[in-house]
Amino acid sequence: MTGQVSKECPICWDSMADNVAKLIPCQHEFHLSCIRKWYHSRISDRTCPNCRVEIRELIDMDHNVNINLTLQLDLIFDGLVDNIGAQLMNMNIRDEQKIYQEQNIVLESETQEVRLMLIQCHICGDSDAEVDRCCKHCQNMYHAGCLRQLSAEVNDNTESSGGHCAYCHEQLIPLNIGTRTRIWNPVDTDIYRGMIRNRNSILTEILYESSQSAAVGSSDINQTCNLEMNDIDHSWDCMERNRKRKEIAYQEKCQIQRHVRGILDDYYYGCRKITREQYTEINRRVSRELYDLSGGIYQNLNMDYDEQARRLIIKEVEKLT
Amino acid sequence: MVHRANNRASRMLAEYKQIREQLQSHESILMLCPAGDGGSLSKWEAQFCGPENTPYADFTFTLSIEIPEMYPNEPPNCRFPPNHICHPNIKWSTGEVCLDLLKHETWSPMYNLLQVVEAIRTLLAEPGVDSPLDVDLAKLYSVDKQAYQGLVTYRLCSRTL
Repeated sequence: MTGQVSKECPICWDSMADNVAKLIPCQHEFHLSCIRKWYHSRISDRTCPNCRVEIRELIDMDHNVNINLTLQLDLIFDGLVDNIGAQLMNMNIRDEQKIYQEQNIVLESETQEVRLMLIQCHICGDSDAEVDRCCKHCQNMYHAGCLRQLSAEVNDNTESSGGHCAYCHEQLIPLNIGTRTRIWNPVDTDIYRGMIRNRNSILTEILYESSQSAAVGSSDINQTCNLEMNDIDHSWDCMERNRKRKEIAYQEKCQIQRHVRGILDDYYYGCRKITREQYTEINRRVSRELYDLSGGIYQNLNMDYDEQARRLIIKEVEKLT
Repeated sequence: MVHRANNRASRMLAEYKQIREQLQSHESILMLCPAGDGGSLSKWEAQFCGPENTPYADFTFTLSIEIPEMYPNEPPNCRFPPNHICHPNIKWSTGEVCLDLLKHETWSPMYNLLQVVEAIRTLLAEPGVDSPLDVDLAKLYSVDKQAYQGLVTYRLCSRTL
């Protein structure tokens, strides 16, 4: 439109007039938002999608700032808030030496080395000013709304412990970007007192309603914040317990399957009575039956799994002929 | 400025335009077009001829492609119809394709649909015998090419059209 030749982003194929990131050292360019989403979807992969070179840092060309991708983080978030943060929106500014004493980091850091890092929700991968939760331990950051969305996948349960990180289960702390107090915009239908509503989730709706009724007649933001933290407490508690339960169930299953495979291997490798497909099918059926018989618990003392497996396998093999 | 919008839709539209242009002069890919209903660009179908100087040369193949929600950050799911193609890296009974490029770990958002179809066609000429889906056929390929070619031709001729 402007007569200026603009390249296309190789990821989304849209024009790259702005929102450009350049990778270092290979100099390949992508949309900043596209390359971020790509890196977000590949947790351990930090190579260039084009040439597969290991990427050390990327340059946000619009703001001309370098973002280090290899930084090992050790940040304290209370001191990170400032005006430039509001402008850059997606980044933290950190002065390494003076972080403890500084209240106004920006002015000082102009003459010193400033390190930038990404603020990015570890659930949805978006970088924006709504990212408002941070883990003290591993510095993973989240949207409160995304945490809640995840929590909707486990059924509700209302015991409370700490607000926990999805990765290391350490305590989460509030993270403010841009300004110290968040700007609440009750007109925006998706955001209510800083919480992102997810209309697909029933649990979110319930949480939203309960926090709304509790906040009626009160303009006290702290109260809402507390509620918010409690919601997250609940969600993570539920999710954590669900995860553990699944993990245990999986281990029990593996132990039972080991017996089945032991016997089936004789049939397959020993006398070649069954084909590979039959092996898989029988393995599945017999394991499932044994699993049901054991009531989900591996009871090696009460049950002779080898004998039971053999019995069931013989039955299955007979069915084949 | 947050780009929350779905990348898949706009990218598929751009690819669609490009594919239409490039296919006009393409020798081996006969067709690559959306197959979903309601003008959706999430399901595609491809048709191509087998590569020259291979037992696949005289046959045409159909490939169905599904574009995942996270495309291009996730690879497309490609699959032949069942009992359609006999190849060390393709499961005869299901049409499942085993190709490095299409794996989560090796995929790059730089690849596009046309390249994917071309890569699968190349796979027909150059089977990867290290990660076969059909162990017996891969073995045959590495010890007795002639027998392999015979078997492939036989099965392709016998497939129901």
